Amino acid sequence: MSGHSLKDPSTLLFQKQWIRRWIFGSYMALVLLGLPLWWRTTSIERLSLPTLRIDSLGGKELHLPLSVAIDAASTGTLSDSLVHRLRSTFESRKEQAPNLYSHLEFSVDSFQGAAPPDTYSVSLSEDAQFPIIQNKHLSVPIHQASKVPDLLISLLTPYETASPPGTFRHLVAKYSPRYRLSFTLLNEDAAAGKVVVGWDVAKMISRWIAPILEQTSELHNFTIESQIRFYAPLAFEPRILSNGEDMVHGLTQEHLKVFVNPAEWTLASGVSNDPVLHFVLFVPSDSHSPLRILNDASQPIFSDVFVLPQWGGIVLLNLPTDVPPKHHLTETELDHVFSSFQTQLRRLIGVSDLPPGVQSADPDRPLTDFQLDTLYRQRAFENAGSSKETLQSIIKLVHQIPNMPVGQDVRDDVRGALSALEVLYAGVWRVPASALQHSSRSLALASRAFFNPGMLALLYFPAEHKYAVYTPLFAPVAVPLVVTLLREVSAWRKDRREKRSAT
Amino acid sequence: MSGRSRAVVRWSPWAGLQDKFTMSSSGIPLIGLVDRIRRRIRQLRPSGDIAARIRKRKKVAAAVGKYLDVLRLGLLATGCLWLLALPLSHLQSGTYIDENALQPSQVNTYWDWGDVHRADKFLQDVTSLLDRNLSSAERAVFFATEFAKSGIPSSTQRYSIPTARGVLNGTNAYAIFSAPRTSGTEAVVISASWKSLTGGYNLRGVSTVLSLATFMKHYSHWSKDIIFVISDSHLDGMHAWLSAYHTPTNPNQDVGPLSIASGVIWTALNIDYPGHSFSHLGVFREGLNGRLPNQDLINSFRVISQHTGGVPVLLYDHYEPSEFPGREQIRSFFPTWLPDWIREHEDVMEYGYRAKNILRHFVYQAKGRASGAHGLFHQYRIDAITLFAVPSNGPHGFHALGRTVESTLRTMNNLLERLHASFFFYIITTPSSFLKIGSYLPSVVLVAASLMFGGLGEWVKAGWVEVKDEYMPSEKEKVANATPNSPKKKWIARRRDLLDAFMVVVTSHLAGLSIFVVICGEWLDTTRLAYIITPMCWVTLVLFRFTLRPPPASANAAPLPVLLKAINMCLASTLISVTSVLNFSLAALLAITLGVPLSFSAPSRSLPVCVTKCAVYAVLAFGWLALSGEVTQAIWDWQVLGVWFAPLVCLIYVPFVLQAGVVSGLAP
Amino acid sequence: MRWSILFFFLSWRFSVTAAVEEYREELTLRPLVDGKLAAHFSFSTLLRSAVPRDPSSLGTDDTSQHYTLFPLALGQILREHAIPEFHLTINSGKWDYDRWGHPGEPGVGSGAELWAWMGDGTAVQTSIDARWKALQNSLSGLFCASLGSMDALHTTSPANAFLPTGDLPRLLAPARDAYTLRHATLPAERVCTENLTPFLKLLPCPSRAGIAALLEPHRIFDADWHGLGVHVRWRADRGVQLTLTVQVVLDSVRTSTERRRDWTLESLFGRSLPRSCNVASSSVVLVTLPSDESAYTLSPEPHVSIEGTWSRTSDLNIVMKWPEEERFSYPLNIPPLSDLSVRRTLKGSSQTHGELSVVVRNNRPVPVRTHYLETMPWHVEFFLHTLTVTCGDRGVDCASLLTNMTYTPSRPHATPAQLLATLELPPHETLHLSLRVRKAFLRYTEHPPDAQRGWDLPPAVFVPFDAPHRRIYTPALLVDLATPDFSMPYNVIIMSSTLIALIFGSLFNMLIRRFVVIEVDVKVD
Repeated sequence: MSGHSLKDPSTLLFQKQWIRRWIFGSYMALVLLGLPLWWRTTSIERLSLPTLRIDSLGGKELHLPLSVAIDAASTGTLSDSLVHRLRSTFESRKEQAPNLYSHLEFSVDSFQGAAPPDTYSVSLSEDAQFPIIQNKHLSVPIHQASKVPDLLISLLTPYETASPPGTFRHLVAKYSPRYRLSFTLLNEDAAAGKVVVGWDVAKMISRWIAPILEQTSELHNFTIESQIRFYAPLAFEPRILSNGEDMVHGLTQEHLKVFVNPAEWTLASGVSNDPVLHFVLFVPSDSHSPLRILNDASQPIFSDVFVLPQWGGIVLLNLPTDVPPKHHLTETELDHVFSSFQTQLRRLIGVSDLPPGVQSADPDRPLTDFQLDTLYRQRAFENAGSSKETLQSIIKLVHQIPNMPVGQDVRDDVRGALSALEVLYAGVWRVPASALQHSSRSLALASRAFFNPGMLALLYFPAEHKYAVYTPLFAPVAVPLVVTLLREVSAWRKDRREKRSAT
Repeated sequence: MSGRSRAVVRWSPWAGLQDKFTMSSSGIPLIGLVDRIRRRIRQLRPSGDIAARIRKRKKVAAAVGKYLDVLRLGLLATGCLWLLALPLSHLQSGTYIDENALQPSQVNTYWDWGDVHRADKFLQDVTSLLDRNLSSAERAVFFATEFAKSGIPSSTQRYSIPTARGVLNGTNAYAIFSAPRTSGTEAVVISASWKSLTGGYNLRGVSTVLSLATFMKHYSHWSKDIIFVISDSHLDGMHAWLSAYHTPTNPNQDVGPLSIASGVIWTALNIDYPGHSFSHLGVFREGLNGRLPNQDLINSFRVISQHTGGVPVLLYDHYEPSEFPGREQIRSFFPTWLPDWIREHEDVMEYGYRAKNILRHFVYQAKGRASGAHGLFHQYRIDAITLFAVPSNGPHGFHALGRTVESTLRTMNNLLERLHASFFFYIITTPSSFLKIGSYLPSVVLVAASLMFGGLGEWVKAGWVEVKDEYMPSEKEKVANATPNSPKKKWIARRRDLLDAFMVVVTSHLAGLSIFVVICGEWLDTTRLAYIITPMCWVTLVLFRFTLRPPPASANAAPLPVLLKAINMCLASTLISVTSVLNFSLAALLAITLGVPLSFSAPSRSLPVCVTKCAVYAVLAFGWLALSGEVTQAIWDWQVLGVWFAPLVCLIYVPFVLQAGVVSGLAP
Repeated sequence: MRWSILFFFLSWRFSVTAAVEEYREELTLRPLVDGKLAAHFSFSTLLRSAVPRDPSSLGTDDTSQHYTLFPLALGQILREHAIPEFHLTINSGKWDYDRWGHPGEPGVGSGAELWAWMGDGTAVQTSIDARWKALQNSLSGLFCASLGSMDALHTTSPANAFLPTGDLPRLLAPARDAYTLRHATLPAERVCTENLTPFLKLLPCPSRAGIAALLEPHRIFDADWHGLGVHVRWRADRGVQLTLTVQVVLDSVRTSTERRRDWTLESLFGRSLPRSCNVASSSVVLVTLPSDESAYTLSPEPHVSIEGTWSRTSDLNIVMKWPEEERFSYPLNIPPLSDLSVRRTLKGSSQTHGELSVVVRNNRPVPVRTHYLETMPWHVEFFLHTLTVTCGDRGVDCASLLTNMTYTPSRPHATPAQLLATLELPPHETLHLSLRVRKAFLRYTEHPPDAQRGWDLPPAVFVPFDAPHRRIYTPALLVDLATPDFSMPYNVIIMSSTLIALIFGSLFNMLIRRFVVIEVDVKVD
C-alpha cells in the first residue's frame, strides 16, 4: 500500500464505500436467491383441494325420478284407484325402509294411447294368465288387479328376494366398475382316489353366465378365469352323521363361515387389482364324501350350495361311486352347478328376483328392464354416497396431517370426481343408466385419489430436526449479515444527512 | 514521530504478532498529521470503545510476550507430566462391547475331546516334520494335503523377498472352506505362523488350525467363508500371503499368486501356542505403523475366553499383580534403588502394572512394529489379533483353546456388517480397562503447542529488534505524554530473509536422506558408523560458529539462528500434532525426543557452552546408530513390511535435531 | 466323462391322447466326487397349442383363460404382461463347477436372476420397461421375493449372451417386429421358506403326492447349495411350456455321524416317496451312477423299460451304499469337471481404486469360444484402457484372444455398465484378464441399510458358443465403498455446518471490515 493510503485507509481500493456495498449486496443477493431454492427442496408439495365445493356437497342428496303410468284404456274405471293405491303403498314402504326408497321421486298417473317415454307402464289384460313383463311394460291379468301395487313396488325394490320375500343386501359385493370372475374346481385330495381332471367350463359359462354379464355390461366389466386344483384340504374336520349304514359328512353353519382355506387354496390370480368374485366347485375326497350342508337342527338339507357374502359362491359336488378314477365332468353334470353359480352371481351383483309368478316376455334376456333399472338406481345412489364420503375423508385427512403431500394427479382426480358428482346432483335422471355412469366415474376417481401412493410422503424431516441440524449453520451466518446490514444502512443514512447539511 | 505513535510502536512486536492472528484494525504505524487524523476520526463514528478494545488486546499480547518462556515451559512440563500420569487408574474407564450383534459367548460350542484327540494326532505329525527337518516347501505340501484330506480345497504359495540381509524364501499353505449356502463374498481367517513370536516353533498353533479345519467342515451354520492359513516363518510368510491376496504392492518382492480365492476378509484370528500347555491367553493387538484392530474384537474375545473357554486373559504375557509371577515382574520393572516399601505398595504395584502395559504398547506402536502375525492384516482393513497361549505347566490345552476360537468365530459370524463404530483410538491398560482418546491425546498436543509458541516467539523476535532511541522529542509531544519515566527505547522492524535458513534446513534433510541410504545399504556396521559420524557431526556443528558468520550489518536483518529456530520449532510442532492422531505413541516419542532438545537450543556467547551443546545434539542426532540391533530390525521392517519408522527417524527426526544443533552451534 | 443312468418310475402314462395340458415330473440324483449329492427336481407343464399374448392387444380386455394343470396365477401373469419367455432363478450358495460339474439347469448364479424376452407394446403403459417393472412386481408378489428392487440400476440387455431358449411369436403390430431382452440380477437375494411355499402351490400335486413330496423345507434349506427356478418358453410346434426346477446339493457325509457318503431318500429328504401324483403323465426318478470304480450297491431294482400306463402303489425309498468304505475319504486332487474354470476377484484394499482380475482356464482338449459378460453397477467404473489379457503363468500378452468387445458405459446414479466380449481359449490354456476400476463416492441416500457390509457385484457370465446352455457364472463379489459412519449422522452434519459457518464468518468479516485510523494511547506502567 502506498504511503498515502497509510495515512488514510479509506482511500484504499478495497476500502471504498461502494466496493464494500457491492460485496455486501452480492452476499445478500446470494442469500435471497438461495432461500427459495432451500424452501423448494425442503418443503412438501401440497396443492390446494376444492374444500369449499366438497363441503357444500354435505347437504345434497341424489334424487332419481321414477314415474309409473297406468294404461287407462285397459284399466278403465280402476285406474284412478290404482294410482291412488300405488301412491299410498309406496309412501308406506318409504316409511318402513327409507334407505331403499328415499332417493326415489315416485310419480304415478294414467295415460291414454302410447305410453310416455322413460316411464313404467302398467296395463291389465283379460287373456293373460300371469303377469308378464315386456321391456318397461308390465301387464297383469285382470283378475290379479289387486296385486298390481305390491308387484310394481317389489319390482322397483332393490336387493329383494322372491321367496321368502326379504332382502339380500348383505350378500351384495361392493360396487366396482370391473370384476374378475374366477371359477375354480377344487379336488380336495386328488392323490387319494377319484379325481376330476376336466370340465367343460367354457361352454357352461357361455350358456349360463355370459347372458347375465352381457346385460349388466352397463354396470360392470367382467374378466373370466378358471382353473382346476388337485389338492385343497379343508381347514377343519366335517362333522360325521351316520344314520344306519350310510355315513354323511356334514358342514354346520359355523363350518360354512370358515369353509374357505386361504392358506392352502390358491383361488384367483392376484395379477390385477379388480375385486374377484369366486365360484368354487368343491369335490370332496373319498374320506369326506358324501359331504352335505346341515341346517341348525344338524340335519342334511337338500341344497348343496351356499353363498359367502361379497366373496362368492360355493357348490359341493359329491361324485357318484361309479365314476372312473380320472373323471371328466360332462355338461349334464355341470348344468345344475352353473345354474346355481348364475343365481349366486345375481345375488353378488345385486339383481333382485322377479316377484313370484311374474314372467319375462322374452326368455333369452334373463333380466328385465325393471330389475336392471332398479339396480342402476340403487347403485347410482350408493356410489354417489360413498364417493361423497371418500372426498370428504380425503379433505379431512389432508387437513389433519400437515406432512401429507398432495400432488397434481391427486388434485385432478379429486376435481374430476367432484365435478362428476356435481353433475349427478344437478341433473334430473330419467334414464338411470346415465346416472350410474356419472356416479361410477366419480367413485372411481375419488377412490383412485384416496389410494394414490403419492399421498404418503417418502422422506420428510420433522421441523425440529431441521432446526437442530441447521441452526449451527444458519445462526452464525445470519448474525454478521444482519449486523452489517444495520450498520451499512445507518452509515448510508448518516452520509445522506451530512450531504444534505453540507449543501 | 509523535509520542502517541511511539506509544503505539513500543508494543508493536506483539501487535505484529496479533496482526497475524486477530484481524486487528490497528497496528498500522501512522506518521504525524495529527489534525488530519483528528478530522477523519471525528468524521467516523466515536472510536473510544475500539481504542479501549485494542489497548486491552495489546495488553494481553504484551503479557503473552513477556511470559512466553514461562508459558512454553509450563506447557512442556504439563504435557510430559500428563504422559507420566497415563497409567493412573483415575483416567481410565472400563471396557464394553459396542456392537450389539456380537453377542459374545451366547452360543454353546461343539468342539469336544474328539477334536482335541485329532489335534494331538496332528501335533505328532507336525513334530515329526520338525524332526525330519523338511524344507518349508515340503512342510507346506504336507499341510495342504492334510487340509485336502478333510475335504477343504487347499493350495500352497511360495515367495521370495529380497532384503539387505539376503533373500527370504518360504512357502505358505492355505485352505478355503466355502461356507454352505453363502455366496462367498465375505471371509474370516484363522492363521498360525510356523515360528512363534517367542522365536520358538508354533507347533501346537499349527495343529490347532489343522484340527479346527476338519472340525468346522462338519457344521453348516457358518455365514462366511473360513480361510485357514499356515504361514511360513513368523511375519514374512503372512505378509507374502496377504499381499498376494490383495494387490502385490512391492514390485521387487516375488510373491506367488494364489490359486484359490474367497471374498473380502473381515476378521482374522492368529493362533500362537509355543508351549506344551498354557495358563492364560494373551492378546497381542498392535499392527504395522501403529494400526489397531477394532476394540470390540478384543473385548468380545476377552468375554468369550473367560466365560466359554474358562481361561483368564492377559495383555501380552504380562501377569497381573494379583497372580503369582506378576508381582515379581512388576518389581523388576521398577528401578532397584527404589526402597521396597515403595515398590511393594499396592497403588504403586497397580501403577507399575499399567505403566508396563502402556510402555510395551508404546514401544510396539512407536516403532510401527507388528506385535504378531496379526499385525499385517490391519492395513487391509481387517480386524485381527493374536491369541498367545502363555506357556506354563497347565492347566489348559487344545480343549480350551479350540472352544474359545470356535466361539469367537461364531461371534464374528453373527456380524451382518463390519464393525464400524469408530472404536480404533484407545490404549488398553488392563484386560478390562482402557484409555479413551480424550484422556491421552492432550498430553502430546500440549507439547506441540509449547513448541509452536516457541517458534512463533522466535519468528516475532526475528522480525523486530529493540534499539536505543536517539530522537529528541519536540515540545508539543513532550506535553502530549508527560509521563516522566518513559524509556527511550524503540522497536524497529527487521528483514527476515529466509534463504539461508532454508538452505540449512534443506541441507540437514539431505544429510538425513544420505544416512538413510547408507544404513539401508548395510555396507558397514551401524555401530562403527555411529562412532564415525557422531564426532564428525559434532566438529562440523562447532565449526559453523566460525565459518557460517552472518553479515555484520545485521541491524536491519534478522540473525540466522533465530530464523532457523523459528522454522525448526514450528515444523516440529506441526509434525507432532499431526502424528498424534495417526500414531499416538510415535507422536509421544517425538514429543519427548524433539520437544525438550529443540526448546533448549539457542546460540550462546561462551564457546564451552556451545561446544557441549553441539556435542549433545550430535549424540542425539546420530547416537542411536550405535544400537545396531534396533537399526537392522527397523530397516528389515521397512524393506519387507514397509514400516515407516526408519525413514521417519532418518528423514524427519535427524534433520530437526541437526537444525537445533546448528542453531546452538552458530554465533549469536 | 461317462455317466450311466438308472430309472425309477413312480407313474407313467403312455399318452396317445394329446391332452391340452400335460404335466411331467422328474428327479435326477447325481452323486458327486466330493461325497455330496446333487438333486435336480424338474416339474414341467405343457400348455399345448397355446400362443403367448401379443403386446399390441394389451390395451384391451384379455380373453377368458381356462387352465387345468397349468398354474393360473402364473398363466395370468404371462397374459397380463404378454411375456413369451422368461427365466427366474433364486439361488443360495456358490456352485462349485470344478467339483460338481455343470448343473442340470444352467442358472446357478448366486442370488436372484430374472431375464425375459418381450415385444414392445403400442402404448406408453405397455412399453417394455413398464411391463418389465410390472413383471418384477407380479413375480415378487407371487414368490414373496424382493425382486421389485431390480430397477434401472440393475437392468441390462445382453441379448447375445442370453438367447431365447424357445421360439418367439411374430408380432402383429407393424414396424415393431423386434423382441428385446431385459436382464437383472440381485446377488444378495437369498432363498428361504417363504419362497418355497408359494413355489410349491404352483404344482398340481403340491406336497402330498409325487416327487414334490420330497421338498421338505428343513432338509432343503440345510443343504450346501439350493436354488429355485421358473422357466417359461414357447415352442411354435408344442405350445407354452412351464418348467419349475429345484436344485439341491446335499452333503450326506456332513449329516451322517460316521462320515459315510451312503444315502437314501429317507436320509436325504426325511421321507420316502409316497404314492404317485395321478395327474402327472410321467414321474420318474433318475440316478446318475458315479464314474469312479468305487463299489456301490443300489436298491431297489431299477426299471428297464415301461410300456402302457403304469403307476406305483407302494412307497419308493432308493438306497445307495458304498459297503466297502467305512468312512468317506475325500479325493486329494480332483480334475475339474467343467469346461471352464473361472476365478474372479476384486483386488486392492483402497476405497477409491481396485483391480478386477479374472482367470479363465479351458479344461477341454479343444479350443473354446465363449462370450464373456461383465455387468457392473455404476459405482464401480471400468478403466478399459487398463484391460490386459495374458496367457499362462509366464504372463505372455495375448490380447488377440479377446475379440469384438462391446462396452456400454454406465450412467452415474442411473444405469449399470455392461462389457460383452468374445474369448478364444486355446486347449488347456489359462487366461488372465485384469482391469483397473474406480470406486464411486455415493450420496448418503444411496447407501443400503447395512452400509458397512459393502456392495454386492453381480457375477460375470461365460457363455460358450457351441453350448449356450452350459453357461458359467462366477461367484458374486463384494466391494467396499467409502462409507460414512451412519451411527451418528447428525453429529457429522452439525460439525460440518459449524465449520462452514466459521469459514464464512471470517471471510465475510475480512471483506466487509472497515479499516480506520484510531488514536490509541497506552499508559506505560
